[in-house]
Order: sequence, then structure tokens, then C-alpha cells
Amino acid sequence: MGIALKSVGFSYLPGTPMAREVLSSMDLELEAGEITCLMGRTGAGKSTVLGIMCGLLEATCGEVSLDGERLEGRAGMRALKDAVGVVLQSSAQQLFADTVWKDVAFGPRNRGLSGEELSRRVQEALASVGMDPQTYSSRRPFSLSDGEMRRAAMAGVLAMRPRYLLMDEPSSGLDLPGREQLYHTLEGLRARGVGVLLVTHDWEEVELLADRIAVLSAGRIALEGDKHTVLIAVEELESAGLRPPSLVAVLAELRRRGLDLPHCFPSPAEAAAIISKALEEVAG
Amino acid sequence: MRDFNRISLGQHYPIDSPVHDLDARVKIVCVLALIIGAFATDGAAGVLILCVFTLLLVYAAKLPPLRVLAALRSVLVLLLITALAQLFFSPGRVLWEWGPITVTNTGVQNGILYSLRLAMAVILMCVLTMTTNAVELLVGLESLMSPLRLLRFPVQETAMILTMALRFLPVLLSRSSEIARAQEARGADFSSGRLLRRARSLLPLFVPLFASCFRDAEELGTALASRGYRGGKGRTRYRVAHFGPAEAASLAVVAAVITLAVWIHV
Amino acid sequence: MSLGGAAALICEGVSFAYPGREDVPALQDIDLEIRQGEFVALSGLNGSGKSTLCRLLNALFLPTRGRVIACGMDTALPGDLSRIRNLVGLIMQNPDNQIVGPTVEDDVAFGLENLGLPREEIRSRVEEALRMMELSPLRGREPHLLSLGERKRLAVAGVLAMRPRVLISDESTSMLDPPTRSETIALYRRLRDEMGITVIHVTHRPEEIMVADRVVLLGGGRLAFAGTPDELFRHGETSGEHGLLPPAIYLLVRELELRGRPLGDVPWEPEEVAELLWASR
Repeated sequence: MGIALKSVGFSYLPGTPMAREVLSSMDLELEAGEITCLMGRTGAGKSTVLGIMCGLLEATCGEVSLDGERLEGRAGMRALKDAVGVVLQSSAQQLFADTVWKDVAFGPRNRGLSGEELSRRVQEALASVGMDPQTYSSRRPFSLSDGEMRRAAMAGVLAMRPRYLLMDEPSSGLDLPGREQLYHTLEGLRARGVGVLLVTHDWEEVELLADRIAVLSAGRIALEGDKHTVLIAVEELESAGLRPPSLVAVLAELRRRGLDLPHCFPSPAEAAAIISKALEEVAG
Repeated sequence: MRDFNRISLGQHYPIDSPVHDLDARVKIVCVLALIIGAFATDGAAGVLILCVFTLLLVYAAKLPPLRVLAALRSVLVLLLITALAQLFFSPGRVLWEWGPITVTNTGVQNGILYSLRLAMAVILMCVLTMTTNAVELLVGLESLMSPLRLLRFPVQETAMILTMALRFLPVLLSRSSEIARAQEARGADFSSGRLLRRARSLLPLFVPLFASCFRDAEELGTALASRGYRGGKGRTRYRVAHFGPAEAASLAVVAAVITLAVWIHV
Repeated sequence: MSLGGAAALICEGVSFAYPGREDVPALQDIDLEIRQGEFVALSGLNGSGKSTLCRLLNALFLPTRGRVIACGMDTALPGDLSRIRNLVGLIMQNPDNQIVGPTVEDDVAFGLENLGLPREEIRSRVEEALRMMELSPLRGREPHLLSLGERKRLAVAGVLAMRPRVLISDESTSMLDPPTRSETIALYRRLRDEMGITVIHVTHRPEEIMVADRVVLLGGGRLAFAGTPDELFRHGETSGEHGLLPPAIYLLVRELELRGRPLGDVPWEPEEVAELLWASR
């Protein structure tokens, strides 16, 4: 079960003199019930990947499959649109209705829901992002704070019960309590079997949430794996234009100067112990 | 998904030509004068003189003729309606009849002339916008309108608003496409349905767009105040306007051509 | 780092409430002094009043009680308004909302035009600012064709051209990706080091707080803490209350201290830490 991209390529304006290749040959899988973090430098093509995965963009080459079935053409994009929810950085700007309730209901209504079922969906969605339906339902979206608007936008997507959720840097600009609420929501979704793709730059977030990590660079996935492999792969991260987590970087810099240190992702105390020991050995 | 940003806004065609180099104010005045002149002339000779002059202008500005003609496409319908209106409803010697519709000799002549006038006006505007970038145009307009300040008309402030509107147009365009995508992902359908339905379905597009504009306007206001903007009073200008021999010559030539065209009564 | 004794910004018993919401003041009894040449990090949870304080410091808002003295001038006195806005520059989160000119150079010139400077002066200052922000080759470009990092630099250039003595950055790094963020912080540090500009940087990020000389925390509109970053993070509970957890590098350096390897001032970049450790071996 999952969304699979195989050798997927994407170019803007293909076949014209202004063609620009963004993705050359990408392999990526988003599994149900897992949180996958997609990382990469700005401009590497992460937004394009999101666009392809949610059915807004069509890959110029390669295969896209949903739950084992290969998807083609408009019907394929429609299938993705139905199964995948996407929350972009600008999503807080998408609120338009008179009340939060009506806005969250917009998505499921478009899918043909009404009455009891609709009401249930809206309440569930609001609750799952930590907004009490009683307090928030009749609020006007434009009276909400920035953090609340983001949550309302997310609720609007969750109300459609997508099987997969894509999010583009959802924690950028949030303060600590805001992030904690977000992570709580994402963990809840994972527990319910939703496959989540998170575009992020934040190592703490990755360390906390990621089941899988994929690093996009030069149009393909340059590095993939779980926390234990990716967070310490300093050379690969740097050639993809990313800076490794700070403690990993300290160890790497010391290694470059000749200190013999293991490749690992330590806690501050562990790092201090490792470094102290190595420095003593060099001194002695 | 953000390729909208790559288009440079405005039809400005940046090449080197004597027309491009002219001061914007002179160009604005000349073009307006020529358009007014075109509608003020009395007969075929006058219109033809101005037409030829317009084409010479296009040539002098080194503009690709096809691009310029393409601009006529947008007014094709209007041209047709004007031509037909003149054709069928002018008095004069009847050439052909079919029921209530009569075609007269003056009808034919007027039809052609009016179409030519309209086409000229469009082409002249095109020459103006293709040889002058938006900044220069606005600065030129502001300068031309400055005497209105004596009538308490807020010239600088108006120019400022127009400049900012121009600067933010691409931002709004890309934002509206982002919002459209977000709503499409929620199942909104902007492309199908009868006219009324479609208008209503645009609410999820326009409301957020306007709301975000208001939010940004607030920040923008803060930025303007922080950067010391207090309206037009006491402001100086970074850009230099120039009025040299080329500009004087252009004004003279255009004045002469218009005078000739209007004086001829053929 | 010697801090010139002169005070750049002073808040004396400042309170502020938004019109119509006098029952819920945004700021209460703020007493604060920021010296010329200091790099101050301003932080606190969302809604704690950080943005409001920023706008009081450059006279966009006037305090409902108390007074704000910016570069020696009381913000409530009408005559000095223009001068205060000139000396205290503000950079906000979204660079797009600060760029008003149709081209890069026109935008940088905007503030100078407002000051009514003669054309030659404007021209030379525009050149200077473009050069400092490495934007000279892009001078004729339309702003929407610039990358986010370039737009950020343009926003800073526009303020720098006015030769401010204080730069207030209101969460100006929160929309940026890590490399651009580092660049921006490095830029602010350079402005402080080379030009003596006082920097007030509003941020949620503990790593960015580490570079500051002092941290000021707001909580519920009141001053909750003012001290060095080290003092802040030593008391994990205080910082945690305000949504700030000590960054990993800070904890590392503390742990090394416990093991008898003090590094002194905690540096910010991993490279700096490694260099110091290597040198200490």
C-alpha cells in the first residue's frame, strides 16, 4: 500500500526552447502508516514532487502507482486527487468561508457528503488539529491567529479523510507549542494508517518523526534510509547542499582535522564523552 | 508550480532604437496627439498620411511587425463591429441592397476609414508600451500630470499607487494560482458548470485572494511608514528625465504631420 | 566586544494597548535599555508582544503609558518622527511586503527619495547599498523575478541605504531555508561588527539566540527575562516556558565544561566549535 514513483521525471514546458528539467529520474515510495521526510536544497524540486504526488502535475516520464496500480493520464491524476491531501505553506491563505465550520466542510461537501456524516467529519477534523469544535466552529476564519489559520486549513484537508497527506514545511514560523501540536496531529495520523510526506529542513523534526528520509538533489533521490543512516551521512548530505545536524557536523569537522571519531548521531552528553576521550588520546 | 514568476510583466520589448531612447513624456504626448489627430482628420488622405506615419514609427522602433499586428487581435471584434456599423448605416449613394440593409459608397469609405483609425490607435499604444518600460511610463505620466498638483490633485500619490500596483501584479497572479491549486486539491472545480455556477465557485478563489491582499497591505503600510514615506511632499526623484534635441525634433515632426493630416480635406 | 556606552533605545515603564482592546494590553510596564552596538535577541511565544514592541521602537506606535527614547529622541514628540524612522530601520518577515519599487535600484532609492536627498546623494547611496548586498548586477531586475534570498537582501539594502543606527529584524529569518538563514544572521553580525549598528533580532530559534549579546524574553506582554543567552539556557525551565529549548551545541559545550574542557563563549557554527576544540587539545 502506498504511492510509488519509479524513474519519474518532470520538465516545465517540455519540447520548447524554454524547457527546464526539474526531476530527472526519481524513485520514491510513500508507505501508508509511515512518516517520510523529504529534504533537499531550495530549488531541488520538492514542490514538484508534491505536485506529482497529489495529482496536480503530471510526470513527463516514469511511472506513478497508487496501491500497486499504475496510474495513467487524467484518470490517474483524479485518483491521486481523491486519495491524497496536501497542505502547502500558503494553505493558511486558502480560508474563505464565513465560519471555520463552513470552510472545513468545503472539501467533504465537494465530495458529496452532507448531513450527519459531514458534521461528524468536520468535528473530527477540528479535534484532530487541537481546535475544540465548540469554540471554533462559528469563528470567522479571518479573526484567527496565524497558527489557528494554519490548523484550520489543515483541518479542511483532513476532513476529506485522505489516505495520504503531503505537507510542505508546516512548522516553519511556528513557536514551540505550535510545533508540538502539529507533531501530535501527525503522530495521530500515522497511528490511523495515513501515509505522511513531510517536506522539511528541520533536523529535530526529522529525528522526532521520520520513519524514512529521502534527500532530493540534482533531480533524483540522492540519499535514502532511516534516521540512523541518513543523519550521519555527512558527505552525501553536503553534496546535496544540506548541512548535517549540528552535533554530527561537529564530529565531522573534528574528524576532518584528524580526530578519530565514530560515525553516529549522539546526544550532547554522548558527544561530549566521545570528543573528550578522543582529545585525551591525542594529547596523551 | 511557480513558473508564473518567470514572465516579465508588460509588453516591453527591450531593444535599441531611436524611439526606445526617447524620453517617456515626449512619447506619451506624441502618441496621444497622433491618436487624437487620427480621429480629428476629415478624409481619406489625412487618415492615410497618419497610417503611413504610424507604420514608419513601427519601423523606426525596430519592432517585429508580427508582434505589433498580433495586438490587433484583441480588438478584432471591435474593429469588425465598427466597420460594419459604418458600412450599413451611413447615408449616401446606394451601392447594394438586401432587405433593410443598405450599403452606400460613403458607408464603404467610412467603414474602411474608421477601422483604420481604430487600428492605428491600437498600434500606437502598442508602440508606446513596447518601447517604454513600465517604470519610465509611470514616471513620465507623473511628470506630465504634475501641473495638476496646483489643483490639489494628488499626483505623486497616484503615481505611487500605480507603481505599486504594477509591482504587485505578478505577486497576485502567482498567489491566485497557488490558491486555485489549494482549492482544487480540496475538490473545488473552477472550470465546469454554467455561468452563474462558475461565478459562485470562484468565491473560494477571490475571497482568500482579497483577504491576503488586505493582510499584506497592512504590512506594506508599515514598511512604507518605516521607510519614511509621507506622501509626495518633499520627495526628490531618483530617475532623471531628459529633454534633448531628439525629443524636440520628435515633437516638431509629429506636430507637422498631424497639422498636415488635419488640414487636408480630401 | 566593547559596547559604546550610549543608549540606542530606552523603554521607560512602557505599556501599550491596541485601540478598542484596552482591557487586554499588548505590553505592560516594559523597562529596557539597549546600548548602541548591542546584538539583542527578542523572543517569546506567539502573542507575547514582540512585534508590538518592535513597532513602538521605531515610532510606528506610541506607548499608551511611559515613553520610548530612540537614539536620544522621545518617540512621542512629533518633530523628530522622520529622523527616528531614518535611524531605526525595520525589516519584516515577508520581504515581498517591503519591496515597493518596480526595479531593484528603484526600490533601494525609495527611502532616500522620501528623505528628500539630492539626486547625486541618492545615486551614490544606492550604489553603496547595492554593493554591500551584492545586488549590483541585478539592479534593473523586477523584484518578482528575484529568488527569496535575493529579495531578502533587497529588503535589507533598502533599509541600509538610509544609514540607520539600529536595525530591527521582526522574525525576518522565519520564512527562510537554513543556508539563507545563516547568511542573514551572518549579515546582521557583520553590520554590527563593521558598522556598529545595533541589531534587535526577533526569533523563535534557539540557535539564533546564541549569537546575541543579550536575550530579552517577553511573556504575556511583560518582560520575563533579560540577560545573556548563557544565563537563559542554564535555566532550562525558564527558557522552556517561553518556547525555547537550549540548542544542541549549547548543551554540548556545557557537557564539555563538566568534563573540564571549557570553551568560553559558546560559538554558533559547528565549524567554530570544532576549531576551538581542536585548538584546545
